Amino acid sequence: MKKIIFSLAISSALLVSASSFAADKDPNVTVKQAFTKEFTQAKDVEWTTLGNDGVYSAKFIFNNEKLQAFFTAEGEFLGTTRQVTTSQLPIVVVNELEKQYGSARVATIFEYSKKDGLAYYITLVTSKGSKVIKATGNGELSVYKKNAE
Amino acid sequence: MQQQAASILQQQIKQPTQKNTKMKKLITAAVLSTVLLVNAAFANKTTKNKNEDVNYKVEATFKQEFATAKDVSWQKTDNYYKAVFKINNELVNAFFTPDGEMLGIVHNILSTQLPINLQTSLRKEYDGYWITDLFEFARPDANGYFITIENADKTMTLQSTDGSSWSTYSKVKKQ
Repeated sequence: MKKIIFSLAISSALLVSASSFAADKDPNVTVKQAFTKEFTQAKDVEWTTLGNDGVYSAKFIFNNEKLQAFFTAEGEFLGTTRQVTTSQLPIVVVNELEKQYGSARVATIFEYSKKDGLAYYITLVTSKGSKVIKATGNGELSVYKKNAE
Repeated sequence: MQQQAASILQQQIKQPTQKNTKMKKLITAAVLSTVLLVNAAFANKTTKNKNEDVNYKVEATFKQEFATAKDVSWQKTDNYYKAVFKINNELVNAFFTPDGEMLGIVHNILSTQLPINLQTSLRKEYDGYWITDLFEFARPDANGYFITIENADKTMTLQSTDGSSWSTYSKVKKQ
């Protein structure tokens, strides 16, 4: 279940056919309370559901940044994604990216923050195609998806 | 001051890795202190000795770790070397022993460069404080963030090593 939720969250963040499984839907009070507790100063909140797994997604503005947060129907906070720039990556991640993929162009970067961890999904473009690299906060890189669209 | 900091540093660096969780926490705190103390040692140093010669061991480690570094300059104290350089246009400080061991790196950042969970945690738990210092640090065995915040009554330094939550590193009441 958690793996499916994680996959939905990342797919949504990477904008892979997000519209095909997202539908407008206001969540129950429990979810709304959980959201308010996590994001006290959120603005322009838009709710959708993801898939059939009872996962709610809130897109909103926090501190002048666009964020997307995920909750279960029971109000459990699953995590947050946001698009970031290279300057917002930990310096150890930037250093490893330059060492391992120096010639590639960075197309997009998404940060996925959970209560127990942090990861970045970096879409790189080279002359041979594109790929999504997963980076942990301590600079470990792995290929998450090859030939990303 | 520098001698004292260096002495504490050497003791901490020689601590063996322990499996016990409580000990791990203590070692993490010591590791974080290491970066802070070395950084402080250089902060106390006069700036007239910029671009000092660096030995080949230190230079080799630096080139291995930071192959794409630009605008590199060196400083040194009696026991440590510090490189100041740019990666992706961000100014970074890296610290080394004369034997070429990298002690860690320090990178001053803005609050918008923090992972989002750390930003929301600051808003929720430390509303009314202002930020006076914020940097990212990394060592071979630990990395994370240090932030110093103040309000009218106290100064607090918080640390995060998981990118998700803050813990109190120090708290001082204002006189």
